[in-house]
Amino acid sequence: MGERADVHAATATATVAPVRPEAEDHRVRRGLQRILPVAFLLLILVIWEAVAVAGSVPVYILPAPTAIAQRLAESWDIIWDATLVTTSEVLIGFVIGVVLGIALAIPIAYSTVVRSTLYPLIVASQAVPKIAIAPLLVLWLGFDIWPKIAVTALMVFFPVTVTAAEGFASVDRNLLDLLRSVNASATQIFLRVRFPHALPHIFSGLKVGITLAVVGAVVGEWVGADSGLGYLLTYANTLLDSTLLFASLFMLIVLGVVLFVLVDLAERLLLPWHNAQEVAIGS
Amino acid sequence: MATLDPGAPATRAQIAAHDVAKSYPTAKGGRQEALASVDLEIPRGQFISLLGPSGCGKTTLLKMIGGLIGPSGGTLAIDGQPVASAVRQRKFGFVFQDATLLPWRNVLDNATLLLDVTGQGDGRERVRDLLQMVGLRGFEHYYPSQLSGGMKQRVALARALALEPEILLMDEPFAALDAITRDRMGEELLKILDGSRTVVFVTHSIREAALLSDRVVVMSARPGRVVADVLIDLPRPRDPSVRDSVAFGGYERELRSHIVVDHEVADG
Repeated sequence: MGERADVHAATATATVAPVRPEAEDHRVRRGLQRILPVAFLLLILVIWEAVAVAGSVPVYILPAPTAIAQRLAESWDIIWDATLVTTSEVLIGFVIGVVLGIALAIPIAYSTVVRSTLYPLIVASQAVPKIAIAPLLVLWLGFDIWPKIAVTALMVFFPVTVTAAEGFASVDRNLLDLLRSVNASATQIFLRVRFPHALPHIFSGLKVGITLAVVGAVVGEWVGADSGLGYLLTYANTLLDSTLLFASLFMLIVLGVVLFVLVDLAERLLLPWHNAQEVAIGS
Repeated sequence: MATLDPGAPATRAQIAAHDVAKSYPTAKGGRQEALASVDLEIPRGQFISLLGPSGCGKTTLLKMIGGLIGPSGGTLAIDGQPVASAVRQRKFGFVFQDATLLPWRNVLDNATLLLDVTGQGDGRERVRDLLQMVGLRGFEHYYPSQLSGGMKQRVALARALALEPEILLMDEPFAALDAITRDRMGEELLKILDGSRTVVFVTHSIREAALLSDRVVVMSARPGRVVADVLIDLPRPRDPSVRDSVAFGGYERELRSHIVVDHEVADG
């Protein structure tokens, strides 16, 4: 912080050559952007701990962060097993949802008839609360992993379909004219232009989708399961075992964040050209 | 070439438009005339500009020649054959106002796009030569986001020339560029094309049309129609310094005199 103040002083007095201080100022600001969220989180944890330790709140209402951390270590085997179960549900459901979503987006992007026929149904499928149809899915698919995967896929496909359809359809008209002028087939245009053009759109759908996937798996587990983090949550809840509940919740958050970061990383690696453009717009 | 439609007049024109018109249905149920009847014959190797204000149908005419839209009346023939068969033979190359490059392909890959799509992977060396010709040597591995507007249009030009089209169709290719870059691009186009192929060039710049063309067709709006057909009899190969000549000034004046001032706009 002291360094930052110095930099400001330097830019204020030495107006002749502000190039270096400006660059430094930029670096300081970026460092601050990274530190701030962590510092804020730590602050919340400290307040939380203080409130819990002060003893005015019963443990089953709000256990202290240190108690949760301790429980996480003690019950690690159970929690890790549950995490693995939920992760596999999330990943399988996500992949199925993405494949389904993109497959559905293709006819929607190409045909106004299909679009007007399918869109109301797709929107309606999202208006139905998943928790309400989850028991039905258990009835249809049994108690094993499949109803969880089904709920997850149902949540994931929607943002993917919407973003992919928009991506496929939003290619520049002149570019399509150019390709048609050399007799390119619809398949060639799709593979060479529409699909890569849609990828940034699809990735924003994937980012929404991956967070929804975690929600989907937990909802699936709530309705009927004997393993997984969602199951552990309900189990801990019925026992009023709040430290286990919070420990499971913590793992769910970690799972969601890690998966999101992985999708984000995949986007950066696969679409370097897109990030370059974003920077250009931002600067 | 040999199988001429017996009904069509025997002609050496590469592009022959007879009574070509285009109209669109309006929301009120009537028809909006974009282009009234146009007769135009363009011989092989001619650089022809379609000059006029916005809404005069010059782009519409260009797109009909290239088979991107169909005329609502009249006949269009390329080398005596229907436009569709010219498209099949890949006789057309297009350059639009926006470069429309693919941001995920570098300069070289953008320039070879049409080769890839048509399965002519062996043309990459020729495309390298083309990139050098349009002044992009050393920029082969740059991405579009790293290029200026003028450089992007050079890539678009190389991309259009990669398939060695007989007819180059350019729709206000330099209109989005700043005035200085625009002048430079015009000068370089003179060198690059040097009268070797048929070019239809849409523009609303009198100066650009006069500099580049063998012939300028002046069009006016509401509905779009041809009002003048001016031969630009300046020597080729043409040097940019021709712009300082008396003859060039004369052509500029003549073209300007044919541009119809839209009274609705002028009075308002």
